[in-house]
Amino acid sequence: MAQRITIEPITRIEGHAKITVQLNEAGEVEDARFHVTQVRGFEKFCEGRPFTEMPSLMARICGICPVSHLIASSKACDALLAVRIPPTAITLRRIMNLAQIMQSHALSFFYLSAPDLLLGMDADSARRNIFGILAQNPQMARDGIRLRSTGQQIIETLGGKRIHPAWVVPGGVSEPLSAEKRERMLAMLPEAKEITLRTLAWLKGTLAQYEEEIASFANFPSLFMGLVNDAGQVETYDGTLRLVASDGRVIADRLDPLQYQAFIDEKIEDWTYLKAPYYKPSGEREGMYRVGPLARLLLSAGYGTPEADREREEFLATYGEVRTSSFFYHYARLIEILYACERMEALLHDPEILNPRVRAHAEPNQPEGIGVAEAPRGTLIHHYTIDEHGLIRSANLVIATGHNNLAMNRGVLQVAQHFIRNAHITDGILNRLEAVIRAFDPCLSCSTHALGEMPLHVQLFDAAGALIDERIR
Amino acid sequence: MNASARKPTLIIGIGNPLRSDDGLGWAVAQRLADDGGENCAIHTVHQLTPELAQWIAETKLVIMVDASREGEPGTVCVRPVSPSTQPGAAGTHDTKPEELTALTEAIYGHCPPVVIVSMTGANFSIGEQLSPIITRRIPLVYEIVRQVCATGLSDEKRSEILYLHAKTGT
Repeated sequence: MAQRITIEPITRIEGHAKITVQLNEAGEVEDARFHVTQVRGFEKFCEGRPFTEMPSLMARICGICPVSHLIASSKACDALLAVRIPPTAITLRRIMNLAQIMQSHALSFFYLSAPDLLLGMDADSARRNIFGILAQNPQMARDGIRLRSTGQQIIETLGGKRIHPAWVVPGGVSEPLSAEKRERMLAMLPEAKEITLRTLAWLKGTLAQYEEEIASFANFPSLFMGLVNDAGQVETYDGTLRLVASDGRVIADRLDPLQYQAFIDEKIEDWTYLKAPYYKPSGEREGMYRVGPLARLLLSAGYGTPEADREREEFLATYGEVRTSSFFYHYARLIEILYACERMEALLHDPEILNPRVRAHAEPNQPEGIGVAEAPRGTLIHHYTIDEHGLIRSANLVIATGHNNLAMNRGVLQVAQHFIRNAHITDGILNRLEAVIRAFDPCLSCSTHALGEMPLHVQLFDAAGALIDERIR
Repeated sequence: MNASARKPTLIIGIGNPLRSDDGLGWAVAQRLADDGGENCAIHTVHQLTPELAQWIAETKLVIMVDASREGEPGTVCVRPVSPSTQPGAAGTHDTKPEELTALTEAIYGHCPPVVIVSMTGANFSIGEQLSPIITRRIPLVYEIVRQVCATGLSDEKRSEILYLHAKTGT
């Protein structure tokens, strides 16, 4: 009898989603889907608003990564103004984006994924939380809190508040940096680096337990996309887009991100609210790509900072062919936090960092503006058009989690096919189906959802659609 | 506000100022900040998160100011918090005061007394204005916070819940 298994909601991700697994007559996995079951509507309800409101409005998309939206939105507004913003403002925006990457990656690794990694995929779900980490490894719990807090404090120091800061504005930033604030931020970075190196050492020591997950967690050929600088190194604020294949071949390079519509198509399905972009020249099947920390690590020539580059080299040398497994997003996240520490330190020592000229003023001069940056989870694109009064006519947002949509779906299918046997679902399998999604750190929405109280709901349907089994955790 | 300096008392204003009366905690925190608050570190947050544990551990007293949905609008409640004996997930969105105190105690080995001063709101819809009854009674919440801040919590009051009802004034 053909059966369908529904897992809803998926816990410890940012937002609401469910997984359905379709079994065939023989009880084998035939198909699996990752459904995003919420709709936000930001692209629609900002129509008619003054473009100057966009950075603040767009930052409200997410309570975890507001800074990423703030930066991409402000860059789109810079384009509407047709201004070149002062170099110091660019440096300051870069620092804030790196602090955002640090705090968001720390949240993903320590709060959301470490319970799986530390306690194991088969551990009791009631223990797989920060208290479980605390019981098993108190230092890690302290480190997670400290590291996330450091990223948040840097954002707060620059922007005045840690969530939804309004300091990044069209034309630059609203206030220059003071020497006192620079010293305060510099003083935070050595401890953050120390924590990251300690956690990396721990992760490397634990990966041997996860050979099966490494082999089966979205480990398949795909493209990888991200921004790089002129030297081909990781770039988080400007640069051009590069796509590489799993074997390292460069598929496309120096693509102008402002021309994204020429090479990215956004597919829409009737079973999910999340769009599914793909690389147009390769077609929907071959054009599936991944973005985010693992993509950035794999497609670039390195980070351009010594310690992150050393860790990257060690990773590539150790994991060879399986380096493209999405399980390694966790590993790449930690290396990227290290990069953020090193890069922020260098940028804060920029001789022009205290320059008071940080904002260009202008009226809107272009009817269309596109802003692109690397968010923690991957490439983020904001695209606006305005009317003659500066009111938003249209907005299109291509968000990192959307870029990863096709790969997440393929990953769920791969895990389901690898672990489900005889139509029997154990807690460990449920955990792994969630964990493969969690590896991508999808951010489906933002700050209003009570994740801690969500139960895990699994329903088993027969071919006629009748409910034949149900489990609630 | 949002200073992280080590002060004897930490005041945390909780809520969403874009949700009408849910902005109560921020309004009281703002007033305290405007009036000096020399011995207080004042934070405003949308919700409690685990990172607050490190600041809580560094103080001698924590006062959380929040809006409540329980009871008659305008009712003020002063409630000491006991660490949860059965902590939940304590995640990114929904950490309860009891979980946060338990987390603080577990990670840092101690947790100072924590008090919640709350007032029942009348309107939580989208908006930046507080209801008239909330606006009228904010000075009362402010005074209670100042009083707790100045005198701390005596041992006998650490398990006592105090209600001040809007209609009866008791």
